[in-house]
Amino acid sequence: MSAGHNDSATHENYHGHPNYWVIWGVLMFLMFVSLILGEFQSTQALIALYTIATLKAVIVIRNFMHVRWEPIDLALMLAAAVFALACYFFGVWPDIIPIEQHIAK
Amino acid sequence: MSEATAQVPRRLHGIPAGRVAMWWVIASEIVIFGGLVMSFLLYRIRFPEWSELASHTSTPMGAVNTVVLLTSSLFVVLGHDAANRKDNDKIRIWMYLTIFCGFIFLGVKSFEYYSKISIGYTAPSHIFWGFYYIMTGMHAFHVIVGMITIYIVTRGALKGKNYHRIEMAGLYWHFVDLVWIFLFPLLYISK
Repeated sequence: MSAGHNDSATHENYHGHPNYWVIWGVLMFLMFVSLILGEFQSTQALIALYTIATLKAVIVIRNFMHVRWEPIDLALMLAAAVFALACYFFGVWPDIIPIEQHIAK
Repeated sequence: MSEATAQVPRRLHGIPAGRVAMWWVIASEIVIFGGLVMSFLLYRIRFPEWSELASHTSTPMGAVNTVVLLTSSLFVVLGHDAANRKDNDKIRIWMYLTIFCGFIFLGVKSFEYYSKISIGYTAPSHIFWGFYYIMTGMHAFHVIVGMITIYIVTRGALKGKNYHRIEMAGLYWHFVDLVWIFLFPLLYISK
């Protein structure tokens, strides 16, 4: 890799990036909220728990991984991976639930 | 490559090619880890009685490792920021602190494995523990790879070469953090 290549790449310094320490503080706060939610063993608490995990992931992707400054193509690439996972989950889902109903009968 | 060509970094859709490649790796890894996570979720839905087994995982140790990894993500992005300014002193501090966090994470994880295995919770003992060890083990392997990568690219940057590789290693490290963000509630909180 040439030195010229290095210099050009370092020019992209994400002007106007957020205060990383504040982002870290928000992530810590959300983690402690997750711990509190863990004390409530209800469906609503579980939904809130995974919503918070997703929110934390979005915060990291947007601010630490700088996706908010990237072209939309890159976000679409990630969305394709997530879409593949959703297809797998909801494709298998019908095979999980009916078995339980069958056993109940 | 001629000198004139070397001055212009290769770009794909306006993004440096190296960064696109790293994002491609990350997208592939999302499918690998995501597939495991989705399979585990489907099993948990199918077998609610697994919650009894899940109650044997250590929430405090999971929480400590979450704090450590989130903090290491902060350190690595500060290292990237320092690389943009070519501030070698700051690069050294933030990137080596990231590696230190990796060692803490692995230490806590090793202790956790030891405490589980010593009371008979091994991978073949139950499919829940099989999932637990394969997911956390694969994650720990990625942590080790990340630490080695960060060490190598930091050495290069401190010699004044390839500063942009700090960002690539950082992206990988953030992905490792992302995986843990989902493993933590999945294995340590929802019981």
